[in-house]
Amino acid sequence: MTDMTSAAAAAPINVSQNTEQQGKKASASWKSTGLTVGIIVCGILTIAGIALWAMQLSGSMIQTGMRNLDSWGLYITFFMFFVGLSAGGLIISSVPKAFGIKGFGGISKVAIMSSIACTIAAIGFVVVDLGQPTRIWELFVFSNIGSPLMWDIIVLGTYLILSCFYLWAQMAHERGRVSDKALRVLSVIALLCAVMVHSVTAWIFGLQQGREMWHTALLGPWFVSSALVCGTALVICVVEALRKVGYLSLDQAYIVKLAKLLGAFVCVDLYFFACDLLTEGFPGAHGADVVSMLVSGQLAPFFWIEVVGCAVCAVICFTPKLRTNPLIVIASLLAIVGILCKRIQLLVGGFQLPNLDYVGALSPQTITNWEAGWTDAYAGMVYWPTPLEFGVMLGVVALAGLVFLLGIKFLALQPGDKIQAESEK
Amino acid sequence: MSESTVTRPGITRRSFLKATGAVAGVAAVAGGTSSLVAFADGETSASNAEETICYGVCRSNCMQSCRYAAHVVDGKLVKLTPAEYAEDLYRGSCLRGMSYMHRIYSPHRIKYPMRRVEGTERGAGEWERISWDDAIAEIAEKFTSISQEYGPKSIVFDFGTGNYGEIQGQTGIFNRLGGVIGASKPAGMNDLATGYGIDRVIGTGLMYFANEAKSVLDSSHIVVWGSNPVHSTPQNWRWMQRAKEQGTKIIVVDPVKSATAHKADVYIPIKATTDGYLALAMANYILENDLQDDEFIAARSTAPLLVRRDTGMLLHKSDYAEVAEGEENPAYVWDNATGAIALYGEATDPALEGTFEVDGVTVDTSYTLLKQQLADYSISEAQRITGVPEETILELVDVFTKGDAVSVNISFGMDHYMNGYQSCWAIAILMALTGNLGRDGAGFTGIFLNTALALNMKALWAAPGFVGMTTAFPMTMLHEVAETQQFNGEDYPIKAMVSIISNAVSNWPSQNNFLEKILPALDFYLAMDMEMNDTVRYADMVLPVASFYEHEDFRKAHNLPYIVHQSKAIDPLYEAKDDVEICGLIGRAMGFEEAFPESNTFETYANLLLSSEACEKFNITLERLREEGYIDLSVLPGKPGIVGRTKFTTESGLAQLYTEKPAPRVNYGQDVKERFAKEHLVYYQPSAEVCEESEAAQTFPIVFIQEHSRWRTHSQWFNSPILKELDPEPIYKMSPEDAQERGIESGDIVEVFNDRGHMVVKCVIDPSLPQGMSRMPKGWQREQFIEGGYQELTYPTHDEWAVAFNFYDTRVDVKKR
Amino acid sequence: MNYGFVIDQERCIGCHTCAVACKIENNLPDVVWWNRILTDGGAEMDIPAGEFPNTTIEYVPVNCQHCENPACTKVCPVGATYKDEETGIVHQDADKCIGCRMCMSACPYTGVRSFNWDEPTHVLDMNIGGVDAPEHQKHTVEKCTMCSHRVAKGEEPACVEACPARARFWGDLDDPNSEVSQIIKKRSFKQLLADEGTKPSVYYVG
Repeated sequence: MTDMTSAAAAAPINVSQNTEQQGKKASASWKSTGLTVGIIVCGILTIAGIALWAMQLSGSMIQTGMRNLDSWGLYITFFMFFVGLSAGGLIISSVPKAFGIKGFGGISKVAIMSSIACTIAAIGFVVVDLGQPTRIWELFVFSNIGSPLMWDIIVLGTYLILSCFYLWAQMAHERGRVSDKALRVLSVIALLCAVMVHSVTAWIFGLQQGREMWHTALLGPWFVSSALVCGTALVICVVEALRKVGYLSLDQAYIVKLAKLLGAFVCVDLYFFACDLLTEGFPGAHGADVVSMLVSGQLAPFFWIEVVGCAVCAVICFTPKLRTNPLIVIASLLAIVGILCKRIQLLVGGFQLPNLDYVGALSPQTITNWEAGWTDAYAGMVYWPTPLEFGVMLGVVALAGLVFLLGIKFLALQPGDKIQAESEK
Repeated sequence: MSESTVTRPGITRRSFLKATGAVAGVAAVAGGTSSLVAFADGETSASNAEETICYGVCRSNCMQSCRYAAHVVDGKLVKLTPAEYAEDLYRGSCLRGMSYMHRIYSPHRIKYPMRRVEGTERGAGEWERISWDDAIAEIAEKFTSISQEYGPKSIVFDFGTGNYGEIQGQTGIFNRLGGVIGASKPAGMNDLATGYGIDRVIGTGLMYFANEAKSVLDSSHIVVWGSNPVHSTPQNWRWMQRAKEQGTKIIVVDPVKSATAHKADVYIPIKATTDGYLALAMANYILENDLQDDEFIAARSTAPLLVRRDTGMLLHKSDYAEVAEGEENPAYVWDNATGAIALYGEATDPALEGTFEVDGVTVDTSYTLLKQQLADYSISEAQRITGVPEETILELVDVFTKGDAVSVNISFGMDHYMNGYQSCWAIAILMALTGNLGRDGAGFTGIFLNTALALNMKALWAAPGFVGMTTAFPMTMLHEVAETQQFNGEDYPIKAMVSIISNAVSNWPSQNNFLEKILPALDFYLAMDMEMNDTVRYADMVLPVASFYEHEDFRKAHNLPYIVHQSKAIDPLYEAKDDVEICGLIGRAMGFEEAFPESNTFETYANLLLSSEACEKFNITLERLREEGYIDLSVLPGKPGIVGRTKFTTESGLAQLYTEKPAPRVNYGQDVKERFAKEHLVYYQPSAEVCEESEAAQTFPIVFIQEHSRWRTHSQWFNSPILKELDPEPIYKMSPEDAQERGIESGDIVEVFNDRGHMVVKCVIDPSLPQGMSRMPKGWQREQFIEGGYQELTYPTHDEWAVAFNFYDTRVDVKKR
Repeated sequence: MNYGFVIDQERCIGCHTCAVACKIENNLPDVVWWNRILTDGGAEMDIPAGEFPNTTIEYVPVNCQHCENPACTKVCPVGATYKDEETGIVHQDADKCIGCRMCMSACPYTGVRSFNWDEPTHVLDMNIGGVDAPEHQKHTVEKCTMCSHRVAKGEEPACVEACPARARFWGDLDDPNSEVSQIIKKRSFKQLLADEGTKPSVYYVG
């Protein structure tokens, strides 16, 4: 995320003068110095990330903050987060076509491109989390079809391929090579797949009876709603950035429409959160620990950033006076940060409450903060990533940025003539 | 004994083995070694590695004698598993015994002889490797020149408890060397007050007071008094747990809620060191309320024996007639039937109580004197002193008076205080008055020692040229003698010292005395060890010694009715040598060829030691030990060993209510007369420092005890890499109240101090401690502390009669760092 | 057949001998413990809960529960962890494990599965334990095998053999005459986190 916005932020400085002309030129290869810089920066960060990942593998994962009692960390957090980001874009672009309603102007292809980039990042996060990535082939040879992780791998893979195909189909459609009907069918499939990706990712967590925080039927729909929030927010940010640098022009009405939609999604997501909190907390049993951990415990900062951020986002989105471009971007960023906080709560929260509330000997592999002793290991957040993990994470995010920017550079992602003509009316 | 086998013996225990259709093929090859390949269910060969199994016995100072099968692959000891005894519940093991190879192969093992680099301080940790030849030459030169200049007594032989092998251990071969040199051997002081106190009543010497562990199966009640078998003797606890499952009630009397207390039916908290008062008040209450066991008192105690008021001695046959030396000299009783005295056993109606005039001498029965002595000890006063409520005391009275058979598990908790022997003596009196001695299920348990098999120590110790070692003073006085180079006003140079299976620097109280008074006096301090413990660190030279499994030995097992063989499982690692070899080298280099001819081997010494009448009676030979692994020494087959089953080992064969000739445990020139009159009859004496009235209590509000934990046996296993994963660092435990008063929380670093020393260490708050009590699992070495060490805190003085170390009689205060 | 353990908490003294025996028999790498002795009491190991003198403490030895309905086997994407129908032992195949740690998240008995976060090291410069003890690989998950290499030879697991308190029993839970079946028939038992529905094959009595 960071890199995409920074790349986008860097762009205006260089390209502001000739925004108008370039914006109207729908060429296969879009040139700007800022874009090149962005690509180079992302490339370097990606390579740095790969180098750090190599360090993690050749050294060992003891260099991460993960341990036996908190065995997943930043990577899986970002995996969840990027799956969410990915689906948003695809849904935004496919819903209007699938249901034959008026869309959001010419942002469809950009949205799909962002989905592709985010999906690649999501897969990347699973890969860097693996202890034995060279055994990845086993997934295809020894597939245990019963495993939610296997489902996710299948769905994510399908999703990536489908996204690419969908993007191609849209471009082909613009050139009249694909019929309206075919595109519509494809849109329906893409939409279903996006929903599936979310549900399945949710099930990786939600089907695990062993974790109080995760084990809820609501998790599937909730992941979908969260994905819609951050996906829409991401599309808004990307589109605003691309507008700014003149890559595309878009009627403000579409942005407002997107913002309203974002507001609605945020409300649904908060509603789910409220439902979940109530269900967890009401019986006063173990779930109450979850509630107190979130509201006033170790994860409270993330909880309140999410809740307040999303609430502010909704207010901005629903108040016409506030729907200025800068504020809409801020609202979108708040929504994205909010959902990231949600992901952190979910992941760390799963480990923060031990199932077996007994104490034993501690070793450097038991728990992140093992040296502090049992009580203190859980006093703060049970898990916190190491610099290496942040580095690898940046690398994977940069890879997503790289893919996206390369798409911008080499693919005709600006609105097609038809759409543009429509939007000009 | 070496044998090859495919599956461990003891198959009978579990039925599943039938189901899985296991294996057979035990091919015992006496004295030889054969290999085995593991196979199962007819499907051969789980592996290519060849494993040989031989057997041994753990010989550390937990005194429990677990037997182990040593699995050897490619000349390396890869595994120790519990090996069987005829009595299955004696098969035992623990985390220390099982992980012994982590000490053998430890990266911290001492590999070759080393000398402190010249010009460096003792303890600075700078060592140079030297050859065995140079080491032996230097040792011989130092010992010889010091002996010539200052006399052989200026060389101190310090024996520890790190190995209970009969030849390589505490009472083994180094005594032979010390004997020909004529070195000083300060009197040992570990764990001897308990036996000394109980000896007053049942005459069991210092270590022979306990019934066999399995005797508790016959107990209706087990009173665990000041001991913590769950941690310190789990192999004994196993029997107690079995007894509990059969309905035996377990009652724990302890100032802290020990691990055993948590497992018991009843826990009675008591103020530390007031146990003696509790026992005496109970005894008095029992007598006052006529609850005593009259039958036992009449038949098996010295109750009727008459005591002369003029001398305090018993009225003996010799008071009236010539009694030749060696002839029996029984005491008189008052025969109610005749109204006159009669020799014990010859009266028809001996008076248990009363005061009589015999030829102008006033005499009282022992029982009467005891009753008078106890009259001052009341239950209400006991409540005040011990903190145990009256009703609880009366419940405990019920246990002793109504219980069918009460055993008291005692060990060495109370032992470790200045008043330790009085406490144990008092409990022994309570046991005698209630008839809980000398029968199935009744008596003391703790560390059972087999009395039936006497080994020929003389043959081992008294070599040609034997002059004997001098035991002039106890260990606690060494620092004074070393500092002044005088003892009892006469010159007594102390110039060299050798620690033999001993970590004296760590395990003698008042560590600063050792470091500041003993060490500076020494021209030469020799350590022999496997690991760099405190003693080695402060020595001038260290020799690498063989581990339990790198030499042959045998152990007349503590705690079990067996004598157990240790076969040499592997060759000594690096340049390590066993004690037999080291002794021979030093002995010959010093010119004691006759005592240590080169032809003498382990076998020579083993055969000397086994050349006793008792060994002959039990047919104990080295060959048989090698072949059979262990030999049963039970006196009554199938019956647990019971102390005093037929008679007690006192002069009269009776339980003594009155001690005619009390004597200090060690005579070192102290004033024996002063207390002599007081020592006939049991009494309560407050502890020196821990009791609430002591001077120390005014300054240092917290009692500090060195808890025996499962992680170490004294200081052995202090650096076991595997155990340190579970128990990585010293932990000081204090009560929530004491911690709160000082603003201390669990995990804080605290300084524990008194006027003798200090330690800086991590603290954990432990609600099993009442306010005013604290403890720390013992065994950590100085370098493992942030600063100081726990043994700096203990005092070096002793009770003049018990002459024992008082490790727990220690008070401290604590502040947050 | 369904092998399982019965652990008598009344007898268990928390001595860690079973843990050490397991560690040695299976040549476990440094800091790896398949069998952990947990304290059910206060905030630190071996510290009881409550106020003096009414404090309580119990020990809970926890190793892989070899569940009848294991959560781990379902989620493993490559089938590296699986239940052996013949014996009921839940196996973990280190050669197959891709190190995704799904099983560790799925297993409610957190800590019984151990990931080699580091290159396995052994403080002793040699292999110890059973000659056929398992190998240990970096970045793979491992756990209690119920000493399957011993069971295959007709021996009982090392922890059971070593227990000085005789608190550990092992046998076929499907055989009504086995010692383990007899104990749980006669005595009240509990299973860890029974409401998770994993049907653990470790029964705690006492």
